[in-house]
Amino acid sequence: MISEKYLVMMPAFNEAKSIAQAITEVRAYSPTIDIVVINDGSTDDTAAIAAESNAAVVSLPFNCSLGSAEITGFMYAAENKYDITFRVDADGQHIPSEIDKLAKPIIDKQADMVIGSRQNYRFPLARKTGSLIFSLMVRLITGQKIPDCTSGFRAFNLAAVKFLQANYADDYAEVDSIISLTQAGFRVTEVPVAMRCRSGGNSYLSLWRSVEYMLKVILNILIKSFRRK
Amino acid sequence: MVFERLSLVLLLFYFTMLTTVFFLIRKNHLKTQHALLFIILAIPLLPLSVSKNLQNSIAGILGIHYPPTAFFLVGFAFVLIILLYLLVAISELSTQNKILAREVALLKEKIERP
Repeated sequence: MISEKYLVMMPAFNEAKSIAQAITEVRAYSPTIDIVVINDGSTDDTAAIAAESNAAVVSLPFNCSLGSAEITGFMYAAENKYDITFRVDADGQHIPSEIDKLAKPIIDKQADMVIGSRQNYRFPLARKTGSLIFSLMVRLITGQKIPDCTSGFRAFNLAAVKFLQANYADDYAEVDSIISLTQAGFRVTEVPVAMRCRSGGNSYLSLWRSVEYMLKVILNILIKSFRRK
Repeated sequence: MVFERLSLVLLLFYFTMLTTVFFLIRKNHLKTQHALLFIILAIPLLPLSVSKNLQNSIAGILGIHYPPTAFFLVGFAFVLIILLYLLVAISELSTQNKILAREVALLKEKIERP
């Protein structure tokens, strides 16, 4: 059951086609949950549509990056002291009814961050390979077994949110954040969730971005692995 | 003869660049803080651009057959140092810019909240 102390944060960049539906779905799941859309300098009507859908909208003045939008969401959540913050995509991939599964390990005090791992999702081969490499690296560095460490469907408790608002990579932070949190003594766990394909807009991961993503994440992981724990 | 002409060209280029840097600082188009590294690195290039003996010595130490190449090698190394310095400055500016953007966005939301 969702209470007033829970927040859904949706980073969004040019998601005018899907944002209303994504917000409506969250509202249908829990009418009382707070929703904040972090509009990352969209050039379409994302912010206006989100505001019409009765979500709080924090609009970055220009396109900063997904990581930066997420940091803004963490700052918002920390300032307003939400017990649990859910990070949900604005493109309709994440199913709000799965939020309970993410919340349970935090409510049971078993985890500080919970990752929703994609169970029924068909990845392109390149992305599947990348995900496998990241999982192996995370396991080597942290000892944690997280098969889907690039999933953005996540839940955080307030302590994790406060930590991440100051320790989150500016870009491609999914894998990086698992290592940062684990090295700082936070507990990270994974629960299987159902996920859909995108309902509109374009993924920020183009071919070049996918290569950039791989290289940047691997470089970050290698640098972090040499840091003192 | 070719060697002297090259030294003259390098010397001209050297002083043109230095004058430009000073002019840019004076006009407030360039901060002294950023120009300092450029000026410091340019100092050893002056004797290297005019002194045959120095070029020969450095070329001999480095095993370079054509001595003026030593000048370009040292110059290239300096350019790389300046480039790295600028990349650090850009990274810092980018980070500060995004911090400001986030703070502005959150403050604006707070002010406009019904």
